Amino acid sequence: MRYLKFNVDIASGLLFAIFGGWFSASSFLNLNLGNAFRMGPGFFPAIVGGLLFALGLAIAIKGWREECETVEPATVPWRGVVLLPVGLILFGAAMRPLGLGIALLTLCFCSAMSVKGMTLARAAVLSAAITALSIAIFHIGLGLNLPLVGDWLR
Amino acid sequence: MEFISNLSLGFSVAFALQNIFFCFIGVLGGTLVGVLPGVGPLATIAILLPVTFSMAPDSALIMLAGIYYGAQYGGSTTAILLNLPGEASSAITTLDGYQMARRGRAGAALATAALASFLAGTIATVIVALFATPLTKVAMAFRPPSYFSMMVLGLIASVVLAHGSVLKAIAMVMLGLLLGIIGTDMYTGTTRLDMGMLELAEGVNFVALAIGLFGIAEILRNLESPENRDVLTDKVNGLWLSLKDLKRIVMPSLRGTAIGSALGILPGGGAMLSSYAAYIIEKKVSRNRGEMGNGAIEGVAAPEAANNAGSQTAFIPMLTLGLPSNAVMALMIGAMIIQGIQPGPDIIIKQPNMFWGLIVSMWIGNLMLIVLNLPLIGLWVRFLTVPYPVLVVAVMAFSAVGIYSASGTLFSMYELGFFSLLGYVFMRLGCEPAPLVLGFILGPMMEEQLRRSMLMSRGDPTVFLTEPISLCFLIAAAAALLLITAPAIARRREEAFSEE
Repeated sequence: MRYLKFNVDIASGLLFAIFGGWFSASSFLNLNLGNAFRMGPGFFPAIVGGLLFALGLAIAIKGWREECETVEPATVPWRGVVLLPVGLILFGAAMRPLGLGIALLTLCFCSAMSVKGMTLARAAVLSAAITALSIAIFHIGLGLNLPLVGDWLR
Repeated sequence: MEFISNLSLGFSVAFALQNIFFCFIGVLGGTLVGVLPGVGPLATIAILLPVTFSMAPDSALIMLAGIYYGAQYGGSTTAILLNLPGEASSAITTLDGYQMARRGRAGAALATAALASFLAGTIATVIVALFATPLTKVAMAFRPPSYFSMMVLGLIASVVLAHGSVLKAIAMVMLGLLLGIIGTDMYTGTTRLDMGMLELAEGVNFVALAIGLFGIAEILRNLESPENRDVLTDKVNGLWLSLKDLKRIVMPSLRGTAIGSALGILPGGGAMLSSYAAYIIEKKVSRNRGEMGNGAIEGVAAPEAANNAGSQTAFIPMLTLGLPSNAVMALMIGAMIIQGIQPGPDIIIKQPNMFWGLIVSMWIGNLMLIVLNLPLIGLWVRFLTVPYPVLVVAVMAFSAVGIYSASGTLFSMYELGFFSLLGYVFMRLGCEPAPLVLGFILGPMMEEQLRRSMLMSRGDPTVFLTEPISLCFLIAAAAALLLITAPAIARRREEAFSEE
């Protein structure tokens, strides 16, 4: 894994082709295309998706034929890639049952731990501080209507 | 005099107490963000979008605009003091600005940047006000095929003038167009392309998309290599310019303003291209061109005037045609749509308060920048010492609270997470996220104009070629594409952008 490299043009081209192919195929299969005079909901996405599919393949082929920049997966900040989205989802899930305070603490802690070399103690202090700041700005300052304490804890 | 009455309407709106306040908050927040490393104006505008939902439309846009030019201002501060451009548009200022700072003339450089920006801002405000009404009248005469072709030209031009691979940028635009039309089809009421998720019936959450692509993806990229920057918090003194210096900056500032104003109107042009062009031209025509690169005051004045003028005239196509010329303008249009204002030529008639208030507020904002921020530079520099982990956590918390308070759903967090990862993947693969956002905003509008055109022509696609205005736009778009693929020009373009 450490020595595996990606050619960025091939990878991005294939990614575009997958997106384009999906949009085009699902428009053809599930939506009414209509005709050029009265275009249905599937007409525009079918065409643009098809074009994107073709363009993606072109980018990939160009990348395969020419030397180009490569990316090493070893430099990807895996902690952040996992912890930031997980923190966001936990935040959303905790909001109703547990409230803004705990949701924010969870998110802040996940975010802090995504930084390399962060210790548990520093992350905890940082989370508490930013949580307090956010509550001060959004709950007290802007008066956003998010419950501080959730349904389960009342 | 229509012009005078329009401007006086603008002054009455922009000087309303709450608008002055929001303009101030925007300018202040923007400067702060411009100074902070790793948080760009796009991320800030995206993060603050939900906060503006509860405001009146004029206040909301005034504040967002304030963030935009405030960030540019903050960006030049770090360019001069630290040789670190806070924003791409102030990268060129590092050449002479940092040299001036090294010779103990940091104060003079900062004052030059501020004065040149203010002069440019004042002139650009008048230009926006002068051009807005006639351009709107022209745009009103457009029929659907012309409108469609204009959007094609706008998207192509923004791709050609942006840096990076043209093919990838076009692919990003297309992906944006597709993501933009997910949800309920306006004509038939069928939900489409939602993968069976009911939450997508109203379309992809624009704020989540913008914050994910610009804010959190950027954080992930910065997490790759936590950089340790040396902060020179030397005392900055001598913020006053001598009469001799003042005389030296007048002409470069005016030239920069002219270049910036012209380039800012072009799609994809905006602030960054303007500052480069202004510097290069100044190097050719300035009386003191020999000093350029070694701390010439002209090398600060010209690009700073240009990027400010360019960022302001970029509002012209956005306000009069509903055409975003860069990602910041796309976010502005997104904010308008969320406020229930349909972008296009008729906002000047339907929303005159917002329109003229916004234009005048830009001038007021520039004045605030000069009066309030110049003395505060010491404070801003101290913000550079904020440790990166604090920034990461704060951005995450503010983004999540902002989006959740607007949508109130767990689903919006899935969307935010998805677009953060997608944005990071695209960045690593050398694909800029800005074209995707332009496409996202224009997707529904383009589809609608296409449908109308086809209804009008009874399904005959040649209508785009037989309508004279439409044909002109398409020829221009084709020419732009041909130019960029011509090898000689492609090489020069790469050289121009590799200087960054």
